[in-house]
Amino acid sequence: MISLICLPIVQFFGNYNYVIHMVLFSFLYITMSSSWNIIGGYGGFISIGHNVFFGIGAYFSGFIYARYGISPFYTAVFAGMIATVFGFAIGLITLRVKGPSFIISSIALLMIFRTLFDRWELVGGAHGITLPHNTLSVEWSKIPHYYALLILMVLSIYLSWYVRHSKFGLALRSISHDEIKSEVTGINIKIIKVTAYALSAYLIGAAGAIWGDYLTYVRPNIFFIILIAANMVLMCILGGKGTVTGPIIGTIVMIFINEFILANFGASELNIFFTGLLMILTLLYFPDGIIGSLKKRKLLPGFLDWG
Amino acid sequence: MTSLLSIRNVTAGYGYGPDIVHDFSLSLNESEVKCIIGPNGAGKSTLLKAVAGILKPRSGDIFFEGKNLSGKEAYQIMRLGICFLPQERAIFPNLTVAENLRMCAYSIKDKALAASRIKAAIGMFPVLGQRLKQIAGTMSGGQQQQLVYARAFTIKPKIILIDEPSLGLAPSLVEQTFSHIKQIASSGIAVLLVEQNAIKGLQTSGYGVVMDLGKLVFEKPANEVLQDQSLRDLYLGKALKK
Repeated sequence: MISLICLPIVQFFGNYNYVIHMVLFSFLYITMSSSWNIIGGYGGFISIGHNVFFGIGAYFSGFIYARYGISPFYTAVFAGMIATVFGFAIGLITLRVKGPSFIISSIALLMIFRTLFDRWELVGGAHGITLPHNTLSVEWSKIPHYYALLILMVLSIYLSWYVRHSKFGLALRSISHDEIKSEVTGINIKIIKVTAYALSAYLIGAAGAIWGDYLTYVRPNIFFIILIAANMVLMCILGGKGTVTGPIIGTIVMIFINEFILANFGASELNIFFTGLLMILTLLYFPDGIIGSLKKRKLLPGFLDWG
Repeated sequence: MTSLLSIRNVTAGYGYGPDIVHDFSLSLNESEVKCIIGPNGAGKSTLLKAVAGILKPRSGDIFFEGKNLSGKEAYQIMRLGICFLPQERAIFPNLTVAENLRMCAYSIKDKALAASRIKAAIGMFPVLGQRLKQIAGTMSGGQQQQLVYARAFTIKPKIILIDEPSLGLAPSLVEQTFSHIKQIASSGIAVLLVEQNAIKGLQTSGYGVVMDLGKLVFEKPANEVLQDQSLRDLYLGKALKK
């Protein structure tokens, strides 16, 4: 943790922008996969449209920055809230169904938002919003995002841990097993499901706001693509969905493999091929993911066993 | 009117399908044990689901302690004091025993009370106390049954609805299950039981309710039903002609 806080010091010794970029990219995806884990891992609702909230957060803060000049670092908190409100509204509709129907509804949701933002002239249509770059020098320009995403990551891990050990999380995990059995134990399953969905949207929305500022542009074809959602789902499953440390490990492993292949084979899109291959292998042989499989075999080292 | 639970002219069915339960009425008094028996497809489980609120009755009302339950969600009905144990084991096999017990006490808001109830349940079923960290699905059948019935002692409902408790159980487990049900009944909880194993069910109950094709055929003290020849006929289908 301390080493992560101190990492930007390397900038004093040379230009390590690539390292900084990779680490903050990991922060982003750990935030997203940990948040996704709340509804997808504990709750068992596989949402493949969760980057809708990422996009909503980015657009909200980006729009305010472009029009009123208020930095997304201030509005990220509200971007998360907007995402949560959307999460509630969407959850009330889509969480009535489960299993494959829910998955399809989540994909449809993403397509609706993509089309909507492609056509919405106020926020730039398909061109999106271009944001001013910050005034820091090249070495230091990533640092604000680095810390913002670090904070979000820590919050997301804490949230995931808290939910895992709370009564709310227990209800959520029982719902993932059987909704009727859960309801006759006295759980208001509707509220629990929708709350979990909205909760998982919060930090994703806030992360979207920061990421929009980092990229300096917010566009539908960057934010509303299924690749982002697929990545968070895959990272979570690879690490072990329904565990606290799973999404963290899964994200690190996947980003590492992705970068390794990109660095060695260039931008040949082999990385996407290997991502797919890895997923097939994981689902076939380790459906519980890295952490889940180790836990089942009682091989999980104690420092990774957070529940 | 004074009965704890009264089912009045309830008609129920699934989706757009036909009515499974027709115009059915039944009442249950405090600490009474009634067993509903009848052939497959008689609508016994459907009736219990309607009482538990999982299935909304198409017509008719269900009153509990004088309150109309229509329009109430299953979790609200459960919080009023009607505990439903669905067919198959009413436990969460993917959770640990400790978590299952916490789930049992979910509806108890007072944390200290919930903890003491769980402790009391473990006192009744000591084997659960030894296996708190085990995943419930990996316990033996008998231990899982104990976990199912621990719920009754954790939440102390006024009525417990049990759907086919002996379904798919080994004969020795059937004995154990019915002894748990007797234990629940003797603690003053009213029991409404649906059972295929008519003889076992009736031996446990005060009253036997015979149901066929969604209708009430007759209701008698259990020992009379046990001796009734027409019961045998009913299972062979003669009741249809009556």
